Amino acid sequence: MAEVKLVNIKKVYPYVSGEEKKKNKKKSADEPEKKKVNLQITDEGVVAVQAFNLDIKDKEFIVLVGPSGCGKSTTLRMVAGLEEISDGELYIDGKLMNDVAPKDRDIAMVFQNYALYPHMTVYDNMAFSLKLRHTPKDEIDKKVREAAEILDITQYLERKPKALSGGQRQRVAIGRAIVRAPKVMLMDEPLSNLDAKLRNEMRAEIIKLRQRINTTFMYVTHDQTEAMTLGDRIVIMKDGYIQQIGTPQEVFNHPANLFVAGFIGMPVMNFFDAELKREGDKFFVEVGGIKVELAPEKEARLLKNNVQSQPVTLGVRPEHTDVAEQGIASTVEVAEMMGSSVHLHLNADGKDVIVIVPTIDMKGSYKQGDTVHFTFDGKVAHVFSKETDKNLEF
Amino acid sequence: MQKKSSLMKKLKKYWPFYFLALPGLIYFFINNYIPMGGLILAFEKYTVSGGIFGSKKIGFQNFKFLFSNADAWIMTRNTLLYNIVFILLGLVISILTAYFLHELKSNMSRKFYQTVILFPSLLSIIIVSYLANALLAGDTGFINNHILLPLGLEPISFYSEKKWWPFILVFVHFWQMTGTSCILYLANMSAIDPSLYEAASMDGATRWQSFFNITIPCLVPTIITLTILAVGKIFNSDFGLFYQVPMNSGAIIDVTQTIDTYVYRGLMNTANLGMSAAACFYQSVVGFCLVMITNSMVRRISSENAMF
Repeated sequence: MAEVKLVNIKKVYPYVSGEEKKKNKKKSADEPEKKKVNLQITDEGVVAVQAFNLDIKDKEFIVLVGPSGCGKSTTLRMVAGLEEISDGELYIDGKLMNDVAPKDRDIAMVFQNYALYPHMTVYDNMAFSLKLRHTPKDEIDKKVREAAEILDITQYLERKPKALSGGQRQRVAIGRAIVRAPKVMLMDEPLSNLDAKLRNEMRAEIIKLRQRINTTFMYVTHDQTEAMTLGDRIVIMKDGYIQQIGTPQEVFNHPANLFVAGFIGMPVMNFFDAELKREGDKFFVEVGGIKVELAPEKEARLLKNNVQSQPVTLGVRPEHTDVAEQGIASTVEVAEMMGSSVHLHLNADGKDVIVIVPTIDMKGSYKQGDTVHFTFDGKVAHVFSKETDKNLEF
Repeated sequence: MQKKSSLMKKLKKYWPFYFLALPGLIYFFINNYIPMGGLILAFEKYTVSGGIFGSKKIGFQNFKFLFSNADAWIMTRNTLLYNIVFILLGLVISILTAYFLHELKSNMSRKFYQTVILFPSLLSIIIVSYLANALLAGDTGFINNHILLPLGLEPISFYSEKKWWPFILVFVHFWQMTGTSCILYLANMSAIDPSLYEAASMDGATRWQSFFNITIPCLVPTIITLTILAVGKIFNSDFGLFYQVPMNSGAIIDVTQTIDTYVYRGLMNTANLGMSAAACFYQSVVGFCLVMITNSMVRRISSENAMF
């Protein structure tokens, strides 16, 4: 149990010899200049993480989520001590940890590929850290068996990792981490090597485990479902920057920018080119021939930010979009029956739109080519700046 | 019949693979199997006129000659002891060298040191023997002229004092062979999942604890395979090392004579092909038996690490 504080953390991977020369190679006059497409590649090297500020409370479950290459694993590895921190400060329980060796940070980590010692039995894998700390044998035995009991792997203690299934190996990896009751538990995409069914089961196991061992968790995933179900708070990252920090509900209901809006939620949010109209203290969005007034709390935030009429990107989640008699006209391209709902893939004036229709509300079936009108409520519309991609309410 | 048809089926199905394997199989047949017929020489008193198959059969006479000789004990002792030292010390030196190279963070340094360590193995043993001579020669050698004499010490006549040669031969062997023997271990170390070391460091292991608890156990299959193969050659010796490096000096023959040099010298002096064939046959049979025994011992202790 510990508080973790990351202050302005930055990670730069300097160029190795040769790369820099290649980069600085003088181009011939006729060679067109290539535009720098990746902001993370700078003169000092490849910037994996920057301006990372986060306060993790004691016993909090924080999930870092983002696409591949966004810097989430690097951040976790910096906390673990497996990567050097290029700049900034890391505190665990108020102590500066930048130059402290991993073994002295009192943290444990569960790796994506389990990282179980192949030549050791499950028991030895779990006991290894305790043996290195010269813990008495009977205490090691007690702790290993307790952890095995929690994770339901007692019957596999004498087996070697290669004789275990993926799920069992994952349990052993977690067991190895919890056996020494670390202050902070780090998990780097621990479920990504498992199949969908096992992943769901293990997710539930991790929730139960968290209640039992009651420590601070930092969990990295690219799976937003894991992030939403496990985290007390979610940190959404892109290109090494934090995009938003908030509870699952906050990031789902109030995405800070277009990236977060598109990343969180399945199916992804629908985006439209729209006009935001300010009429006194009222705000409307005009899209596809319909005009929708925004909810009063949204209007209050826009007013506070002194937002004026402007072209915007309008975002509405598929589950917040309703089929109606009147609204934006579209044609059905695909209707996916999901059981409790139908996912309608529509084409609205060349734009792909997904609408979720609960089967209980359906009056008939949808066929390809059917004309459908859809609309949305002002409470669930998100308006993003065309220039900055930021949510204008923020 | 069923077996035959299934073999035909396999040949038909996988003929491109068998076709690809064909040059290798032909090579093995010509180079490794046909010469086995020559073993018959071990049981003959070979004459040029009689040829391999027409010479007089003398049973185990050649073997008797080989072992009744006064040098039999010396050459067997030398061959065995040098090989035991090479196997045991070689294991430690190769693994440690590979580990140090593996631990180097800079690619440039790693390449540099690897090249430096590997370079001697590219040198012909003749060149190595003259390099050794340049160091050890009584009158002109570097050690006598530039180290011992300036220090006021008596020069050493290396080529006539046998006490130095076990050390010199072991040193020259490792100086020349460490580069190649550490490559396999280095490749194996590179294949060890780095997350195992990360997990160990999170568990509280120091570098040496990681070395003994992760690196060595992960190398065990390679160590066992290479050791079994080396044990199989325990009655063979590096002819160049034991014949060329001591410059065929008679004064030190007690510590440089091995089965191979003995056979060569015998062949040069008496042209007795039968005795040479007997010695080789003896080396092969003993080597084969040792491989089988070592492997069965490994299988009893840890079946997953046995070769077969």
